[in-house]
Amino acid sequence: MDDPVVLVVDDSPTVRKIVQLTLQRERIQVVTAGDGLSALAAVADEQPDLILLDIMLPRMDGYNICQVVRRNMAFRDMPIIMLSGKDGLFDKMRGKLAGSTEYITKPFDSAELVQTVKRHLDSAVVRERATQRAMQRQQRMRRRV
Amino acid sequence: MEQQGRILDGDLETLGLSAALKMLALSGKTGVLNVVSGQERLAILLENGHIIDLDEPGAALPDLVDMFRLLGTIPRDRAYEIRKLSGNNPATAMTIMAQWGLISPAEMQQRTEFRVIQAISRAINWTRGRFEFHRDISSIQARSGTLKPLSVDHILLEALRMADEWGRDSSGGYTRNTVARWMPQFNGDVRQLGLGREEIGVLCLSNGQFPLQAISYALLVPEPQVAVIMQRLVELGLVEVIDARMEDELERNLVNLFTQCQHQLTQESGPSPEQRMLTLIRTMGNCVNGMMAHHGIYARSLRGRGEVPRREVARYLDATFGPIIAQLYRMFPRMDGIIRFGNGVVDFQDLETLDKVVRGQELGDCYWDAVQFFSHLMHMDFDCILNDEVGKSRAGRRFEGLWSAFQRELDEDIARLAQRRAMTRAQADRSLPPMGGASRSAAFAYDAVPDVRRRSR
Repeated sequence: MDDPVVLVVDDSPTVRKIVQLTLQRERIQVVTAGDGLSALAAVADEQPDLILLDIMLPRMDGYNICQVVRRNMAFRDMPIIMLSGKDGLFDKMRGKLAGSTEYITKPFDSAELVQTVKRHLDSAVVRERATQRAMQRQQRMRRRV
Repeated sequence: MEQQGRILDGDLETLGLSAALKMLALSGKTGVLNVVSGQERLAILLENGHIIDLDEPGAALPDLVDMFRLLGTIPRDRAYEIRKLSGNNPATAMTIMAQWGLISPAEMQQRTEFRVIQAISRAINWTRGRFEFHRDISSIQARSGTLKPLSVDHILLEALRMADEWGRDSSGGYTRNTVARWMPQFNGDVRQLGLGREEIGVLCLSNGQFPLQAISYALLVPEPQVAVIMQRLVELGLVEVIDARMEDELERNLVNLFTQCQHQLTQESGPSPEQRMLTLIRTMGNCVNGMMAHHGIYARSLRGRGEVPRREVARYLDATFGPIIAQLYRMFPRMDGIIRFGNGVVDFQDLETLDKVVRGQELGDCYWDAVQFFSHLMHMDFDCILNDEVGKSRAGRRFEGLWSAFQRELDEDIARLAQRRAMTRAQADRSLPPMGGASRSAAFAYDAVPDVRRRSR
């Protein structure tokens, strides 16, 4: 099975780099996006296994991205973890209503982040997606040969 | 520590390890002497006042099979066989090697003695921590008779000599956990370098898996000597040094620090430039203090020494960062006295209450100086910390990436502030009647400080 792929969406280059460093150490591939529209493009292109999503983003906020992704049947079960400095109950509820799976409040602890991401990556749905991706790659290779 | 059967205990500040060992040797005691200092642990097994073995709880016995295979002492297929039979247990593998005649009984004895000396030479420098001696006959009986008992005096003398060698600053700050790996881009001919037998041995075992202490044990070359050889191989460009466990810890610590600081930077501040400057000052001030606290744990000269007294850490930090801060006082004289440094901590509390003392343009200028002061300090501190802690390693390159991302965010914020300040000043100038150039140029002089933040690496 391939290494899982996580899409990190945050307008701060520091946060993107921090998450990248933390997850790559755990053999998790990371792709990043700095705004809402690039995030949607990355979801379609990279088909990640999980999304770590900030709320306050340029061009399209995290709630809207979450709703757009959930409307697509192919990504209905994909875990989306909101990563935000807003820790009020209202924001958490809004995230839940938009379709997020879990909510992590910034500043997060790197160990906590890894634990949460791994927990969701271990779910049966994600494992199945990774297996399918590996099979698709094999088929492409065979066709080429 | 275990409480059962305890017949002697104390702290290392009162009675050092060597004194405790000598006392037990003189009275011919049998039992286990447990020593703990910070995260480090040691259990010395004594029989009738002689050392018969030593355990390092939490530290696995080095895997000799793999190292012997790399050195060419045992062929690949034999190594595979030993591995299979021993179930990857280094102690069992060693017994098998002894049974098969790959290690003689004399070598077994020599290896045990060597391991005991290395471990005690490290523990002899622990000044803080506790020791306990208890009569744990079962573990003694299990090992009794397998090896010749070692004289405490002899072991202590050798250990002290070894500790002295570690103390000499020729080992490049390497610790017993330092790991080296071959440089992939080396293009030269190793035979032309005139390496000695031991150097070739260290080079063979520098595969990025074995720590310095394991290499030392495999080659029976003292750890300080291996450190010196490793240093030479690094200088020759044959290997690079990694300390995986320490680098992991260090990385986690720095990542968490930057996460906190980035979060603080994004916090809403008031609408005025002064309020934003204060947010920047707090962020950078806390980041600088966080970096210093981090360096107090991971500085090369403080590593591998067990629990170092707080006073010594503060002294080290003052000596390291004091000159940098003195240089910044010369660049920003207004900050001398407002920002203070001592005991390894930068105190910037006066800036929090500065608005009660100064107002208007003067307050803005003071805050701006403080922003510049901390911006320079952060860059210089980070350079210094990175160079010392990880040098030009892979981890160093990863941190560079993280640092430049955070630095970009800070610099963008500072640039926006500079723009706002320039606009405010231009508006103020337009509304003022014309005046002599001298006083105005003095106010602008603060923006013309030369940029000394260029990376030296």
